[in-house]
Amino acid sequence: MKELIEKAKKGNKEAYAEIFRLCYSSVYRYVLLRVGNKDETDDVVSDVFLKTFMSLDRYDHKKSTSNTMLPYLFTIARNAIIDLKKKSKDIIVDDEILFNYAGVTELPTNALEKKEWATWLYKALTELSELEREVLELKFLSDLSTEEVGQILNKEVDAIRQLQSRGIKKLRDILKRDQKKFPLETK
Amino acid sequence: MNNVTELELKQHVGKSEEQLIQTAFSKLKLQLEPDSKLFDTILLKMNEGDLNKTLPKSPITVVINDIVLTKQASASTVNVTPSPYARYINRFSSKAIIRSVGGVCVAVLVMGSVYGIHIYQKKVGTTGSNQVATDTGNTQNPATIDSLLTEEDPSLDNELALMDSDMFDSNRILALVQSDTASFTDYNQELY
Repeated sequence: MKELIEKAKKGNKEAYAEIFRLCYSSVYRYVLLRVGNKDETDDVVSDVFLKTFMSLDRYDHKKSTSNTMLPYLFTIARNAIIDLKKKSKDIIVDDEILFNYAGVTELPTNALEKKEWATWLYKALTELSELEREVLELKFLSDLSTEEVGQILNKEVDAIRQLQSRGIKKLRDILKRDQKKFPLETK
Repeated sequence: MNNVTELELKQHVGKSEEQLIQTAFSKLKLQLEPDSKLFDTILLKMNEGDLNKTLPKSPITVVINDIVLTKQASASTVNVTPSPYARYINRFSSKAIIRSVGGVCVAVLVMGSVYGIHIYQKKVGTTGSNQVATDTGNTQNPATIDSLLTEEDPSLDNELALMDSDMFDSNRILALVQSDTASFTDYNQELY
């Protein structure tokens, strides 16, 4: 990756295209979950990669604790989302829109009973604190390392581990609670 | 989910719960996968460096205040019902303002900065009931952009071409261009 970044910084479009290919899905999932609206997500993701592409000369990889450009891209994405939410107070962050995108037409309250795990998790994540949720999303949905998450959220690695631990324990408790309502075979 | 994160999950939850939560993350991840269309569009923009070639392949149609402007992405002509102001914003962050500067001037804005300008000369000919305008080309040269903007109407605001993303407020421009009586000067006064 380091070699790719160096090539991209020297104007090699193929190198940047490869970085883009490697990072695209990860960034997209994060933005979609945070924005909850496909059109806005397309805009943000497009801006993130094009903006990065056009300002690569300013990127200093030595400052990163990661071998990848992911922390840099996610930081830009995160700021873009914050800006978007400030500017567009009427932005639609709608569970149904998000799940319509995914082909689910309704959010069942008994998601667990229906074994609609994605829906259950999406709702369960909303019961976590903002930071716990973001850590889990970055780690388990965007596949970032603890160090990379720390860099993006500007926190120490230990703090990220604690947030992750708390988040997962809460998810386990939510799962147990919901399983009581909708008993499941867990084998 | 990769192996590292799977292992980390195992440290925190019991086996059955770990499997269920892991399943949930995998399923949610699948549902959030992007389609390839956006990927291809961004890639094309990066590779070609020419927005004219990267607009969506479907015809671009603008209808504002009964103004109709249609342009095939690959074509060099547009069918246009001329109007003082019209605007087009595509969904891939490429923003264009279409306005009358003698011909029809299309400023293509990317992330709030002028990426290029297309000038269409109107009344070149007719196709059916539409007037046909010819795209005289795209320029990304700031000096040329300034020249094009000032040539026809000195009151036109060059700052439009120099706006940075923080100053670009698409909602206000939309409101502006939907009015035949408003001007970009008004827009800038509002900004300052």
